Amino acid sequence: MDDFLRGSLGDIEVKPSQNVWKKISKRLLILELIRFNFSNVSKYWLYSGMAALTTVAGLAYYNMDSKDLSTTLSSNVNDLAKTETLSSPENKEDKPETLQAFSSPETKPNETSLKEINTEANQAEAEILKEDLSQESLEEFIPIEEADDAIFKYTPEKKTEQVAPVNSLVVAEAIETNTSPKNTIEEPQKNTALEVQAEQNESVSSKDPELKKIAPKTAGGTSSNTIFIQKRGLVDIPPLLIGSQTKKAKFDAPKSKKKKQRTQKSKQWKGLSKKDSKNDLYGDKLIEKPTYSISLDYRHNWPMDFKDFIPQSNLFSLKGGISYHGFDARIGFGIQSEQNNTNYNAQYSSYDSVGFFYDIDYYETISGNPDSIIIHYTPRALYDTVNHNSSMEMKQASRWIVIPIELGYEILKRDSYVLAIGLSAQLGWEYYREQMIPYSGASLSGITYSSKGASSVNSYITVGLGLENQIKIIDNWWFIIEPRMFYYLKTPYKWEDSNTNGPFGFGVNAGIRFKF
Amino acid sequence: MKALDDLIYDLKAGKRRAQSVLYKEYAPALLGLCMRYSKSKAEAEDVLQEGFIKIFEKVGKLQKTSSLVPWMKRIMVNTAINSYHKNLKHYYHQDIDEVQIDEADGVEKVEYLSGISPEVVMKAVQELPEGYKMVLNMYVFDGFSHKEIAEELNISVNTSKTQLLKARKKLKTTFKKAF
Repeated sequence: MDDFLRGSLGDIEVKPSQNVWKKISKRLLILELIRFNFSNVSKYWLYSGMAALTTVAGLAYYNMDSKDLSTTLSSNVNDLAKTETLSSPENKEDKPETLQAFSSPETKPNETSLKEINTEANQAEAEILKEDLSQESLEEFIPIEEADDAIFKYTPEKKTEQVAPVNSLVVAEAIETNTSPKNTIEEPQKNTALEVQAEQNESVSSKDPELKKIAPKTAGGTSSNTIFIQKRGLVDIPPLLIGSQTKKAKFDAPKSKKKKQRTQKSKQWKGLSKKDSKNDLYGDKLIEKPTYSISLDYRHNWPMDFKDFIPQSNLFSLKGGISYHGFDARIGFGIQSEQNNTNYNAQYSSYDSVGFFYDIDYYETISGNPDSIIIHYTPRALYDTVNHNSSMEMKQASRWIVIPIELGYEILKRDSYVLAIGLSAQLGWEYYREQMIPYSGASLSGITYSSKGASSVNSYITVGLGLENQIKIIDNWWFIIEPRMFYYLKTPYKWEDSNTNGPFGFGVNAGIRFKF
Repeated sequence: MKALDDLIYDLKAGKRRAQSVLYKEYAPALLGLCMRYSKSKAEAEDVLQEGFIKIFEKVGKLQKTSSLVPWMKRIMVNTAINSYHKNLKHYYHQDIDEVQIDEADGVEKVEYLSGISPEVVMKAVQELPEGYKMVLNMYVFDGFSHKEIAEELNISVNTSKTQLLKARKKLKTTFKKAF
């Protein structure tokens, strides 16, 4: 029976279900994650990974912010481009249905009535604008941000009414009369907003030379301003500069304190590129003032080689900095501490007990037995000079005064995140070293150190390259984290009785920065 | 042999590809082993899964390459025994005093067995009571002695012997019916 069973089932094979391996893989993965031991990972790799993650997160944030903004802008610009086809008679076929309806014979008002309406509307608007200007309340009338919103909310649906919007009618009249609207506030014949806008729209192709001037682009940075500019064109208010607009857009508008306010708002407007942010609304260059900062940093350094000889170190530093045109410069003062690996070799002699002897006090005999002898003695220790050799490996603390010097350039900049690449140099002088006293008691002689670490008094110079992530915490306070590779130009560490330059080290800088 | 050495080296390094290769190579044979100890294929696959996890975790302790297969089989048997202990409260135990031992059962010639397929044999073994099945598998297929079985299953040696005889008797009855 047993042989039969063995013969039948001894080597039987059964194909397992497919999901068995999946379950095993899943469990193995979970076990790996649970048992992952971070202590097995080199610390500098761990910290560099963290720094890399921070950088990636910052970049992701940077890109996400830009993408959202560009999406919003482009969608609004597209909406706006649709509305602007209203003023171009040659684009009838491409018009949205609502606009086709407006321009169709059935719904189009006759030219006479349109002109009347146009004139009345322009006069009404001009009165309002004149009044607002006289009260110097332009900002309240068309705040920049609100005006932008107004542009974005400008939808074709509103143009389905019989009475065309004022802006469009003004433009339409401008096309017909080949002049700026005369029924508004007196304005210079040249340098009107319409003409300037036309100069900017060089790429528009149209047979009508005047229409060519005002025909908006169907997409792109300038078109988003067109209607807004047209509205302002009544009173010769300069347009916003967006994207690729050139410095041609200069106006004779009064440069009052409002300009300064608008400039400040302009800088806050996220749609401006870095290049544009250097110009104000009028295309004039802004005077960028240097900004100052103060940083409190902690850095931990790891040797990337010769780890038996080179200790890890901790550095606390206080740095002052200046930023100008994307460049940073910082200098400061710091205290560095480290624990050097040091071999301690000591030869010393001591006067130690090496045995004992009997110190005889006196003799006596037993009474009645003169041949007997009784010895009274005291055992005493026998001392002699003993030579000792001691060799051990110990940690020897040291402190350094450090001057960090850093130069950086901001390669990415957002409101709440800055990524800067930085060159650094660091000078250090040792001012304290722990005394090595492994033995106390007997007199010492011939103590020698065979130090693996630094000599008694030293200095060092390092140069480094780092990637600094600046993350805004609140107001002027920024969190700084920077992985940095560095190299010892002059090393304080020596081994095998020789100084050696290098090797490389890795450090992670973390700190708080206040920007004035 | 070198390939097996390399495989074990990679297994010790925890490489997932090596684990997959080992599984594909040996899972069918080991599942056959597990089937003998289980009531169904699903239960056997649970044991197989548990056993492979142990294999991958403990492969670092494997000394000789040549002992890989017996070592894996032993792990599977131990896993099956552990599973038996876990489920012990659910199993029915027959008191040894109630068993009538027929010594002749063990030596009877069973010529009619030649026409029975392995699937039928497997089904018959799986349907044995848990105690019988464990003892039968350990004694007949996996080379345990009654003393070792008694230690592993926390039973007496006599109980082990009795369970084995009863298992054989029950199988005979089953095979006769099937034949």
